[in-house]
This record gives sequence, structure tokens and C-alpha cells, in this order.
Amino acid sequence: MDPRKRTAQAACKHLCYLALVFLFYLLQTWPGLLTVASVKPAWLVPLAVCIAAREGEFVGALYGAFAGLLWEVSAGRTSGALAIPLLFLCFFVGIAVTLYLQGNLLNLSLLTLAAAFLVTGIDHVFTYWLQGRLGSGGIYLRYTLPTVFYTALVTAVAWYLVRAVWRKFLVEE
Amino acid sequence: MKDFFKTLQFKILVGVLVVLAGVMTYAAANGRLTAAPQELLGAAAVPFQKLAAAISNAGTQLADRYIHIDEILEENEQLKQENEQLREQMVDYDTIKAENEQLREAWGIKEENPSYEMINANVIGRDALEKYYAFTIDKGEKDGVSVKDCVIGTKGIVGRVVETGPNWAKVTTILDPSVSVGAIISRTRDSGLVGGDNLYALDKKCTMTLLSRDTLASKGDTVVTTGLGGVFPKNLIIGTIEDILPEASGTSMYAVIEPIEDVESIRMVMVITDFDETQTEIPSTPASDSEPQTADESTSTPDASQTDTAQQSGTDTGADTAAATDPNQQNDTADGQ
Repeated sequence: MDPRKRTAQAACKHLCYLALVFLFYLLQTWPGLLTVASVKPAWLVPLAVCIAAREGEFVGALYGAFAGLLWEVSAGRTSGALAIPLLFLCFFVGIAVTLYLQGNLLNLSLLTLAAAFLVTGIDHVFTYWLQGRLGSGGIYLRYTLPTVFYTALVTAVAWYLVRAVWRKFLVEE
Repeated sequence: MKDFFKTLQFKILVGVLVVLAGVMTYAAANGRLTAAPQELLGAAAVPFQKLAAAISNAGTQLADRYIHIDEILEENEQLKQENEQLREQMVDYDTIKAENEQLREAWGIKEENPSYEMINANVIGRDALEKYYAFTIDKGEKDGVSVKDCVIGTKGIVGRVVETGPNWAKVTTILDPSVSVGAIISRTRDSGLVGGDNLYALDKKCTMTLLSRDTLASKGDTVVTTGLGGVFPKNLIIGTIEDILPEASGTSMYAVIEPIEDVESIRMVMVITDFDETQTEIPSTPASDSEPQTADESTSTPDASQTDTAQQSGTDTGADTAAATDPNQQNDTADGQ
């Protein structure tokens, strides 16, 4: 394939990925959307995981960091508090899928579950537990843990969309 | 895999990680949450979030239309005679009607408190990580919103602004333990500190601490702001007392407060960008004339400014406490945060 056409294909693919990141950010912050008992999914996590699984550890880590930076705006967290964990997690997801795991929906759902568990767990430790306030355990059980499982449930949406974009701009070697 | 660590891609990742760590350190050192690039990202997303919120509101109103069909038809007939143009645009009519009701109530608040400078705002975002129902509004610095501005609904306090961008602002609610409001029980004139508590935040309630052991407050009493500290204006309704319980120490009592506003589902709020801080005198009821005056009533302005200074130089908790002026109270808010 012509190198310029290959570059254009890659650029379009990444523009689509960026559009998906913004779309999933909107879904995540949409008031009341899919909110059950005051719990809603963190849409950006499965999206970052799915992109990392498709594109590898380097691109995945960058998208993880970008998704984390965007997430910090709506969550009101310090810059880097979510971007850095997501960068690392997506990096390892990329490696895991490249070397050990298949990139099917079940595996990615489990990886999303693990990533959401770690990210929200780290956030909970620094935002609630280290503050020394009573009741942080109740908040973890009532809100944080359900958010983790709910986030893993919506992996399918991210998986299908990322796969569609990847197939659309797949460059034949 | 080992070769990856020698590649340019790995060095780029390390560079990104260093930049993120630097941004985090800078933001933390300057008492900010987000850096300038993130403010721009947030500003770019605001128009789409407003569209999403409008769709969500339209969906809710559509459902209400079929639940209360008789009432809405009757009201529609009355409004048809008043405005021919709104009847022809049913979609815009519902939106404008809801906003009109909000503005009517806001005007009522403005008439009672002419010193308030208020801005109407819509709730456009709520994040999955927020446990205290914090939200994002579609007004920011260019609209006059600044950090620590008080946010109210049509009935009373909702919270305060904690972060601002060009055209957005992040609001944390009174369920957040980092928010403290100097408050007084309107019937008994008992003063205390209203703030969030993790134990009660799960039930969307907050607590009023530092009540004396012999308080006469009871369930159903209204709690309002004192206005001391300069963050929250006076006489804004916070909520009603649900229960009164002894503190763990046994030396004082605390009240469980149900906020007057539903912070989880509120869609439109008002930001008080400015108000007259000198109007901090709390009107006393006839039953309390025999009670000794507390120090805050007689030395409001100087002590309020001292409290403001303490707030600005301390953490970003925005504690609006009466403790600086009330000798009967101990302020442990700043110490604990």
C-alpha cells in the first residue's frame, strides 16, 4: 500500500478512536444515563482497555493516559491521579493480549474488571480512606464496588465499536 | 519483549509518564485539581454535555407527560391563552416552561435578597466516581463563576464551587465531608456546623455537629446558614432535622439533616457570585430574647474576614464556620482537613 495512504488510514483510525473517547466521556458524565441506585459505569475504562488490546501496549498506554486526563476533569481529581494508573494498566493490557491472551470479549471484560478494580481502588484509598473519615468502607461497598462490576458489564459496547474501527482501517500487510 | 525497553516508543512512554507526574505535582503544589490542558478539554466537551443533558431532560419530561396527563392538559389550555407561539413548538415549550418556573423562583429569592448576584446554570455532567453527587455546570469563569461560590437551588443550599474552567465549573454538594457550613436551627437558635459524613452520605443526609447536650432542637426543625465566614450567605435553608443523637464523646450532640434540595437529581441551579457580607446579623425570635447573645452576632464583620483569611491560607475545604466568633464552639474542621 502507498505509504501516504497508509498514513492517512492510520490518522483516520486514530481520529475515530479520539471521537470514541469523547463519546464515552459524554456517556460517562451524562446525568442519569444507565444510573442504577446512584451507580453508573465508568465508560472510559473499557474503551481504553479495548484500544490497548487492539493497538498494543504503546498506543494503548497513550490512550489510557488521555482517557485518564479526561476522566479527571469530570471526577474532580488531581491531574495525573487517574491518568497514570490507566497508563500503566493499559500498557500491561496491551502486553497481556499481545503475548498471552486472546482479545475476545470475555477476556477483555475480565481485564476491564481488573483495571476498574485497581483504578477505583487506588482512587478510593487516596480520596476516602487516607482522609481518615469514618464510613469510607461503606462507601466502597455501596458505590465503588458496584461501579467496578457495572463498568465491566458495558465492555461489550466498547469492544464492538473498537473492533469496528480497527477492521475499517485495517491495513493489509 | 526485552527489546521493547530499548525502543523509542518506550522512551516516549517514560516521557509521558514524567510529564503526567510533573503535572500532578504542579497541580497539587498550587492547590489545583486540573491543569490548563484539561481545562481546555473540559471546555471542548461542555457543548456536547449540554446537548446530552438536554436530551436527558426531554426524556424525563416526556415520561412525566404520560404520568400526569390530565394536569398537563389543563395547564396547557391555560398557557395556550397566554402564549400562542409556545403552543406551536411543543418541544421548546417544555424546555422554556421548566426554565421559566426556575426563573420565577429565582426572582423570588432575588426579591428577598437584593444583594445577591446570581447566575442560572444547568447541570451537564455527573461522574461515576462521585459519591457525594458532585456535578458539573455549564457556567464558568467567563460567566463570573469563581471557586468557593455558593450554589443553591430553588429551596436552599446545594453546595459550592470547587473548580472552574472557561465555561464550566465543578460543584461539590453539602454531603461532601470537606464542605462545612456555619448553621443555626431557626426555632431554637442553636448554632453548629453542618457538613457531610460518610456514614450518612449513603442515605443522602448530612450532619450538624457541635450542638450542646441540652439542645431543645427536635425532628422537623429547619436549619439555616448563619452567613459567617463569607462563603455561604445567611438564612439560606440547608435542610430539616431527621434525628438528634449524642456524639461519641458524649459531650455534645449532633443532628442528622435531610437536605432541602435533592442533590442527586437536581438539574438547574443558581450560583451566587456575590452578596453583601456585612448583612450577617441573625434576626432573633421573640422566644430567644432571654438567651445570651453569642459573640458572632456582635462582632460579625472583623471575625468573618479573619475566617476568610484562614480559609484562603488553609486547605481548600471552604469551611464556613461560626467557631471563629462563637466562644462556645470549638472548630475542629481545619484541623481535620
